[in-house]
Amino acid sequence: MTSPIKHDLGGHMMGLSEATSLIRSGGYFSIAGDENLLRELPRGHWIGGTIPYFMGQDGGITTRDQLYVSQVPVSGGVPLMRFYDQISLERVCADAPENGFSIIVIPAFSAVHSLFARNAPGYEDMYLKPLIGWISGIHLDDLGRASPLAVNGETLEFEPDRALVMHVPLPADKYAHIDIINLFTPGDGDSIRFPAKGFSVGECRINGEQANFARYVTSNAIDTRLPLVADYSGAMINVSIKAVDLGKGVVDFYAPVFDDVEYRFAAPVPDYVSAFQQALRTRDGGQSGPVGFSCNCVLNYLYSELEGKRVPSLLGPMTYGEVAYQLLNQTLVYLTIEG
Amino acid sequence: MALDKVLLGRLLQLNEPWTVRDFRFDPAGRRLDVWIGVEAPRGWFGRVRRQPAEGPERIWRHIDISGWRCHIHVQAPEGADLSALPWAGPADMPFSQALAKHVFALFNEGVALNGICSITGIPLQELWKFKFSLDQGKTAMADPVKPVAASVTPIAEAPEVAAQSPEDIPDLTDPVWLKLIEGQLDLDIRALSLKLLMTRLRSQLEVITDEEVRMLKLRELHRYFVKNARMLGHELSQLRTY
Repeated sequence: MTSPIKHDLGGHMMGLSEATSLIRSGGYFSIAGDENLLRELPRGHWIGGTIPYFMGQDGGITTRDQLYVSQVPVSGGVPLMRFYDQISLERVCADAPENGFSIIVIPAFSAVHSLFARNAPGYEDMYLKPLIGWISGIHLDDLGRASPLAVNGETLEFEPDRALVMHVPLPADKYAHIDIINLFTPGDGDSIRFPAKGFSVGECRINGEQANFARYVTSNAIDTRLPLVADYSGAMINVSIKAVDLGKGVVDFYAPVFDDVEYRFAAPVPDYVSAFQQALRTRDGGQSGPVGFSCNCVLNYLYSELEGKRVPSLLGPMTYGEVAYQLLNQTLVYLTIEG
Repeated sequence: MALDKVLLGRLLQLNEPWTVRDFRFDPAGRRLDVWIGVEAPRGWFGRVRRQPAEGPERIWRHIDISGWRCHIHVQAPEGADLSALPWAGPADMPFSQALAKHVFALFNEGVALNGICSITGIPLQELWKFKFSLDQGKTAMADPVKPVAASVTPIAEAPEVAAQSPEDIPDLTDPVWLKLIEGQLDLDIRALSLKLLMTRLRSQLEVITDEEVRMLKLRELHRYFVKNARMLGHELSQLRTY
């Protein structure tokens, strides 16, 4: 079933002066961009994060000179922004409005990133209140020289260690709806289970047999650009591989694997852009309202070589991880306002 | 002082051979610490026999006594079974069993975590640890001597939740919820949040054997449907056919 997505609120790439004007107009915004550019922005109602990779209106782009700005739909009261540290993070959903949604920005590689990835599914009110967002990052050329940041535009605090959340209430006649577009599906390969949740694994069970996962990946010459995929009652949830250390017998991931689900390596996606367009055409018709937020994964950007290619409809930063309730990898997430 | 120990022992409902060995009041913090151990066995003519070897001291937060935060320190003989003692708890848990039951009852009433913190004065971190243990099936709340049928009864006695339900959502007592959460009934689910929640709940149900904790999970699922009814038209239309 085809269901066109409206773009009344969807963002776009813009220069510093346009972004500055928008902020000064007094609305609420979600902004992604390079740190230096974000530091030029005025104080205002915006939640930001660092990243130089985007899917803009003209296609995939890596830039330190433009920002991606999307307007946050505000109609049911004043949004509230607050930082969450390792202690308070578990309250992120409990603090959310009874009717509304929350946008979260988490700096990559921080302790809160790790904590959220591992524990979010158990947080109070998780899945009951819409939580969407992204993991901020840096240009790959800046690894070791810069830190991913979350930025509170109201105070101009640039934060590497805490997550920032904008809690947005909605009026009673509207509600927020979060969904994902994941082009990866489980392949027809082996069933893989892990003994514990974590970002790193050594041992696993392949089709029920004990094995070392690093040796399994290497000896089977598995394309590690393909994520592991688990079927969550019909939602395909990816975990992307970060590194395989055969010497230590350890595989690192960009999101944790969990011990209570079965994984398989994804089937290849030969043409990301065509597959994405197909996915848009066949998506569930339950959402038809304007897009309030969307983002996609930098690994899709890199592995599918999206720079310069136009992927229609859902634009946004290409991030170090996506949040649709819990942390996801290699997945497009988006929020619409319905009602 | 000896009388105070006896009185404290009665307030805590200690039975022989357990006894209050020491206690300390901290008026500034309104905190009471009580050290409990087994009375030294006495032979004929009051001669004290050799004390059995004791394990490490364990500490649990217990139910407040007249507004005083009560912390129980227990040094029990090695291998002693503390599972039936309300003032003791599992080794890896921060609460006594009596306090755990109190907190669990508040969960069942739908009180949010920060509300429970305010009511009980329990730090959020400790409450979180307790909730995590429930979710993992590592903590049981049902009275082991109480039959299962009796432990299901509170569901039927929960009109306050059912009364809030939109008309087209089956009541919490409807068996459809148990079928759904146990995987005997499969829906075609469109809502991402329900897919994720259902996977988590079913996974938890596989390891949770305690009836009361399982019922808590049913309430969680029902509460999700009540709260998100507007976007669950597709799923609710299937539920109504059962």
